[in-house]
Amino acid sequence: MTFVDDESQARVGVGARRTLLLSLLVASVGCPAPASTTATTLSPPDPGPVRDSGGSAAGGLGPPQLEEVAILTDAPLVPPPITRRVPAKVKVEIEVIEAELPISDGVSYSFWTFGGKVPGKFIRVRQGDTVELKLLNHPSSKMPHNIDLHAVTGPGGGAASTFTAPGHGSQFTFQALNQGLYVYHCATAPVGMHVANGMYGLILVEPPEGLPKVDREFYVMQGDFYTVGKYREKGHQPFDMQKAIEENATYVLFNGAEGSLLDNNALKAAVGERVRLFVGNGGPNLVSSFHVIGEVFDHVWTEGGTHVQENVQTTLVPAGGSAIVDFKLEVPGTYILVDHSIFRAFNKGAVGMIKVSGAERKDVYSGKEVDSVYLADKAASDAGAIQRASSALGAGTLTREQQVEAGRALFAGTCSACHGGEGKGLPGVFPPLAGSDFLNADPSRAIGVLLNGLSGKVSVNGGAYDSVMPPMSQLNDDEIANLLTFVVNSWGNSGGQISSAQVKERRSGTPRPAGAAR
Amino acid sequence: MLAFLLIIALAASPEMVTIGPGPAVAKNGGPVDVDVGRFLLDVDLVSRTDFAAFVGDHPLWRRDRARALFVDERYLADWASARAPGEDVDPAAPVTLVSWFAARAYCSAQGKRLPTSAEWELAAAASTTKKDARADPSFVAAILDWYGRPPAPLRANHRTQANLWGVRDLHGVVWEWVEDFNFALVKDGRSGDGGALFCGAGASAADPADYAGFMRLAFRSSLEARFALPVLGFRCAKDVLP
Amino acid sequence: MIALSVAALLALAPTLPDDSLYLVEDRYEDQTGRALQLVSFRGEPVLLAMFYARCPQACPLLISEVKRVLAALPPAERDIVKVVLVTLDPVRDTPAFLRQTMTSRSLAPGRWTLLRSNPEATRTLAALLGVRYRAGAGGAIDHSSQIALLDRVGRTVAVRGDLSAPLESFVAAVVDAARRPASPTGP
Repeated sequence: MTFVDDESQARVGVGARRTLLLSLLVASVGCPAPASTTATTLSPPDPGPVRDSGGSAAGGLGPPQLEEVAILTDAPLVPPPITRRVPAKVKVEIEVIEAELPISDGVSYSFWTFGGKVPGKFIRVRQGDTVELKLLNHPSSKMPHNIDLHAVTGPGGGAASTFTAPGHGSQFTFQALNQGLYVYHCATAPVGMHVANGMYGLILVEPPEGLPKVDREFYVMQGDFYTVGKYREKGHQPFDMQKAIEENATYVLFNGAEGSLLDNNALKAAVGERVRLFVGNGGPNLVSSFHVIGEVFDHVWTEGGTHVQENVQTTLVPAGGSAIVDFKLEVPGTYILVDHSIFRAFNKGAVGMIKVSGAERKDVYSGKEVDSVYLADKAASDAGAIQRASSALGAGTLTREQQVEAGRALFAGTCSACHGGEGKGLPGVFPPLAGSDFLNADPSRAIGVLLNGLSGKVSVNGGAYDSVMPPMSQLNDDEIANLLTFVVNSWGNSGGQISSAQVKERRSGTPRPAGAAR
Repeated sequence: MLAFLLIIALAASPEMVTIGPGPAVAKNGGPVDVDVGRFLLDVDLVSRTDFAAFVGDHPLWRRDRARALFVDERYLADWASARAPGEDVDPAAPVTLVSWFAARAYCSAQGKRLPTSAEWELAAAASTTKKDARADPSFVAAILDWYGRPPAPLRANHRTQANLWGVRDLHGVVWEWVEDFNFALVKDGRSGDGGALFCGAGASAADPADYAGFMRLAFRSSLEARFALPVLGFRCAKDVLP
Repeated sequence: MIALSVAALLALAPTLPDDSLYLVEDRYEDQTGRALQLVSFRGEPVLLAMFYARCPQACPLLISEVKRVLAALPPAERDIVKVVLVTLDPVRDTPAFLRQTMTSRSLAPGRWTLLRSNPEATRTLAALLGVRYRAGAGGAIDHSSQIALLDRVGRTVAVRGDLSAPLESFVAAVVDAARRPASPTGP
């Protein structure tokens, strides 16, 4: 997890986020399979006899044969698989640190952490291991803390045994009787606040024979955060108890910060590899609909337990619960992790990326299809910049250059998926906007195209097109003016300026489709 | 030397104000509700200078002589020497890294005592305008904000305006020792009380106005009398003579 | 009084370890009304617990638990160990009432001593032992129950906090404390 802290990097971050939102759009389209794909009849795989792990009764595998110090990792890294086949005494030492860290660009939050980051250190042990857990509460802490591991068999899960004042340490020992992926969290009063501040992590208790081998493993943990200020409101943002009680999250995040799994921080893998995600949800309130856009989970250890479900699109991860998912990568590109309770992804930060390198597999995925309905989503644009531009224009203060800038951001979120980032379109499918004779012949005609859509045959730069463009009903007058001003001033078009008033006039003479903006 | 220290002690002797009587406000698992009578409370936290004077008068409380029975190894660990805070810390800032025993011995040497939790909570419930501001959202938010933030280096007292009783810095500077810090039964994880402070905790404090008091209870519960913490100081109280 | 305690401290300082409970100078009185300090118990291993005489449930259990520990000791060690119970209710538990409690609970005076002090000293001892308590409803006192084992010089060497846990390890600690020589600096 890295955070941008200087101006230039921050700007890169914003641009990259726009790119992300775009790719999110494109990726989330849920394209119909290309017509050329052969329809194969899939017979359900033979589940075989359902294996019973025996639960905790089968968990004790004898006394420890050796002693070792656990390897602990920060997300998204996961400690290496356990290769030994005998029980061990595993020493785990976690330091609780209260720290002010970025939660988003230019926004800081006072996190309470198991090990300095959110989520806390990933602990990996084997079923039957005896775990000696030492919890150190850093002297600079203001609060007492403790740890309740869901993997523990015993009252409180270790909470009472590890209740620790600042500058002190506690220790307790437990035997990991049940295999599975378990959440741990702080359980000091007020519990909700300790969890809301990021005090959670995962402990994996591997089955005695280990998990099936995969190529890469990652640690992803969701949490919801409640700040006094709005989403992305700059500066230090204190915890808001009232919002937390009302379950009105300001942020819903993977790995404790916006952007912790984006761009340079994206998870990386290659075509042909099998990736396993250890997914946790710290809560405190929200249940996650965990989904990877463009992939299907081949296997899901539902709720982090023993039995495997196959071919799952979205898996529910309870607050204080987990899931293990894996999937094989066939097609290169960027895959987006979301909480498919989708406003959380678009408006509260619940997005991450897996960047997959490798050779194209056109037979699996052609890369062409898009769904224009989703393109109507206003949220894809850089809402802040456009809003500013809108209000400035409304006050009559927007120059042509400002309109172009605002329109550029809108274009990237709204038009470029079909017309292309450089306005070149796609021959025979989507007409070009760059150097377009159709556009330059009558720029104001384009106002009507955006308001009402366009269908039927048109000829652009000598090419014939017969596609359907839906009305951009979600755009308001200012936005359409800015968008078109950007387009007519780009890629060799003839220039000029479209005003909000022109759009308004045209709209007044146009029956408005249901659901249109303003 | 002794006379000199005595003068310092007198000069630094903080003003006290009368608090109460008032209702029991510490209801978050605190002692049974007993109304608080009138008592005197220091306006300011005990400063490093105050405590240096005490240590000068009572060498058995110097960090190099204090008994392990009464202090842990962090006792006054941020001082430059066993006798004085030194140049690196603000001498007028509240003294911290003192055990409950040491705080109590200090107050006793001034003819005072530590306040009880009920007394402290009564004094701390007041804002600058109200005797009981615990339902005032901005008052509560400011307290919770401080609880939520990592500690900043301690500077001189008087960082906050005196509250309605005339007491300063009850919130936003350090935690404070109270005489009955050990009233909460959390040591036994199997008892009902222990449970109440852990997972069942939210149930009894659904009103966010109670969260600040609830967090103080949790904090006090984690303490042992020998502990010396960087964010834990104290002030003294005194009975009002009849 | 101050001169006396300083003198006492000076006399004891070379021999009592830094973490000995016997460094506490508070005055107590026993069930016979005799004034004493905790250091009076120096020389033998002591089982030390806090209780109050009117306690309806937890304290009778605590007392029976101490008896269980004593019963589990070999006779030689059992003869050495002393039991000290200090009341959390020093105002109502007068020496007379403590004496009455000794009788009603069949506590042999040679082995058992019941003490009271003042409220401040009571809180000091509770703080030293890690006993948590508060005034409860109807004159009751809610408190945590535990038995501390002090060695011959007053150091806490074992604590039995969970009265439902198996006895063996605590009994072994008592035996160990009883068998160690009574050297001034301990083991």
